[in-house]
Amino acid sequence: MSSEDVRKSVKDYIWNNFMFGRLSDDLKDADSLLAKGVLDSTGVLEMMGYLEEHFGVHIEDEEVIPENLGSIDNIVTFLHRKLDIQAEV
Amino acid sequence: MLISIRHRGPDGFGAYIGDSCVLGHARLSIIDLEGGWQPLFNEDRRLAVTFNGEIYNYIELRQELESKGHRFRTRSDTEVIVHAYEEWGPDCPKRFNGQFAFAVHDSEARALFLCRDRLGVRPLYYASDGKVFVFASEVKSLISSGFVAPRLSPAGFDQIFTFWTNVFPDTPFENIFELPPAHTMAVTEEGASLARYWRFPIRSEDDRPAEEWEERTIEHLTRSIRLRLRADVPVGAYLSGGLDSALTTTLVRRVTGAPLKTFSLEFEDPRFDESPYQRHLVRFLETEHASIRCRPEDIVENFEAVIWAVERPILRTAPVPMFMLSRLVRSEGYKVVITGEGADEFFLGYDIFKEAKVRDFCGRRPESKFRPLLLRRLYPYLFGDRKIDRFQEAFFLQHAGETQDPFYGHRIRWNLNRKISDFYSKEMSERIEHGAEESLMKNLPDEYPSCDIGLRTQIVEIETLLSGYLLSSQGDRVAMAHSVEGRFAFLDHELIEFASRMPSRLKMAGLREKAILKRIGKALLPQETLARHKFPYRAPDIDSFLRTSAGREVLRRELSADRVKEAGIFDPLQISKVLDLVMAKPGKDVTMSVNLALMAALSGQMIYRKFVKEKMGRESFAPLDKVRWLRGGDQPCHRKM
Repeated sequence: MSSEDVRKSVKDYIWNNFMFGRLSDDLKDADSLLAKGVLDSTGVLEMMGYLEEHFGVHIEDEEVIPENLGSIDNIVTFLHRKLDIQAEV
Repeated sequence: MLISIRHRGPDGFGAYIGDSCVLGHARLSIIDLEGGWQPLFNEDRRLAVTFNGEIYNYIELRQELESKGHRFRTRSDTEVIVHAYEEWGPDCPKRFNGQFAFAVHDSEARALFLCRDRLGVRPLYYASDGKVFVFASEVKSLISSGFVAPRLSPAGFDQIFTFWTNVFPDTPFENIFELPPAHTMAVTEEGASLARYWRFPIRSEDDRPAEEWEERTIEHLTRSIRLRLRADVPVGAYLSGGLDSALTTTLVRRVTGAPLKTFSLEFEDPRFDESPYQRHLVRFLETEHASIRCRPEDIVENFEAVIWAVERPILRTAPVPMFMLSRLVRSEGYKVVITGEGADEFFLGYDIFKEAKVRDFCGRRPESKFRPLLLRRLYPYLFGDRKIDRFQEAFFLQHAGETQDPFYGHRIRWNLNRKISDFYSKEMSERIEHGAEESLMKNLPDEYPSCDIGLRTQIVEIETLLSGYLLSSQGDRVAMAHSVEGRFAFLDHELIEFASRMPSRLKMAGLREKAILKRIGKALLPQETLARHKFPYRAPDIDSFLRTSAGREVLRRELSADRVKEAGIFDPLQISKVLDLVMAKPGKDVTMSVNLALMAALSGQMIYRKFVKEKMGRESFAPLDKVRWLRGGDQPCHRKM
């Protein structure tokens, strides 16, 4: 899966599940999903479920931090790292 | 108009028909059961009054007024108002200790004087087309007058979707206004003018020993309770299981020494239930007790009736169980209950006060890893799932360093509520001329910007949530829906003024809320009540609808694209999108913003349907209604039983 594919999947998921009544250009990839009110704690859990299922990764409890899942950019970077590591294993 | 508020006063109807004014009254008889018919007059019948509520210090006022030469015909507190107005004019409410909304008509001056109690326990709405001025305890009564066409107010809705309530005097309806608490209004043929007669005091703290504050707090609370037990009908008490109602109930028992009936709410869902604590208190206080258990199905079944009662959109279902509780109270033969409402606002009980303190503390050293741990102490029920703890922390620490924000304490909550605006229709967004915060700021005291964060948070909490939501949607409106009067011992204005002079550290010691009440409680209450962590009263919100087949049916029907489009508040596409999403995942928790959006949409749609779309029928008095008309201040001209 290319980097662009990962980004598109993540954005589509967020758009379809957490974005209501706004234009897509309202949310930049670097924006904090928390500060923008897109995600709350329930949403984080839901998104974790999606990432694990869709990308086949396992997310450890200590990895569930805003630095990994707090923005689209952070999620994409985090997924890259996870996917690369898992591919190497 | 009177029949539409029959629930507020089913014991009799009265009206005075003067040359320039008609006053009506629906009576819930509590004091002077035989003599308290309204409207009532002064000695020369120049002044007529219609009154909703209680003047608790009416006995003392009557003695004072009699000593000044006023002659009374009844034993009722209502008659005190006309004589007090005659004696002290528009300053008379400063003398009243109570919960009241009243109108005095001066037939000579052709003037009307409206007044509402200090915290807005009793409602009072008005509207005018420039020729006719109408007022009533509820919006539905104004609409049924035929003088006011019901239209939704986008700005009014936007305020509720930010603060949970309106900014006085706005309402969810265009051209219908609510008299702000602690205000009077003089209405003449030239126009109307508003005046404030009281404000929550912002004072410097008095330096006295803690023991003296404790003794005087008990004295004030006991005095307040003695006043609030004045009634010619039995008085019961709400018992939530928490500190405040335990204290008021204990003091009621002490003052009367007589058997007492208490009432409680239980929840089927243990996340909301406090019944073990309630049962413990019932045994301890030896009260006769009745309770009602609330299930999600009950929330769904009663929701529409509650929207009719509260007359505004609600973002929480918490008023619904309170509506069920008042029905239980009434069915047990009670009209009056004492409750513990108000202690959290004036003795600093709410988590939001501690939260503001912790956020400020964290914001001063954002790099600290230890300071945010205080949030876990503050909200043990939100933290503990390691998966999301860091996100929870990040949520509460948003804008933590922005202490110059005038609404610092409320910022993260209001930002969350504001997500509802993402669902507005284009027309709705375009029609909101003034921002909700801008409107609120105009109502705050001049000293507000220079107050510290704690006091600012307290003032906003009182101005918005207490008066507009807790005492209204979750208070008077759902109690009066079943003809039950709530009496609030902690809202005695002398107790509030006393508490405002108390050093904050006695009210909140570190992160220990209501510290002084807990110290007082040591000698009065069981250890289990004092030791328990504060448990906010909540009920299952949109979950009640999503998890029941009846609820899903209500959501599909009320939020259908056609209905949403017709009401014009929300964007039908966005509502359909979120509804489809949650319906496709039955049993899954929804996010806070989705919960808020669906609650706003459901209650907002019901407001439109019930108040705007469905025309109110013209009802008649029932054959057994007691009705009395008075013309031009004369003796009764017509009475039927």
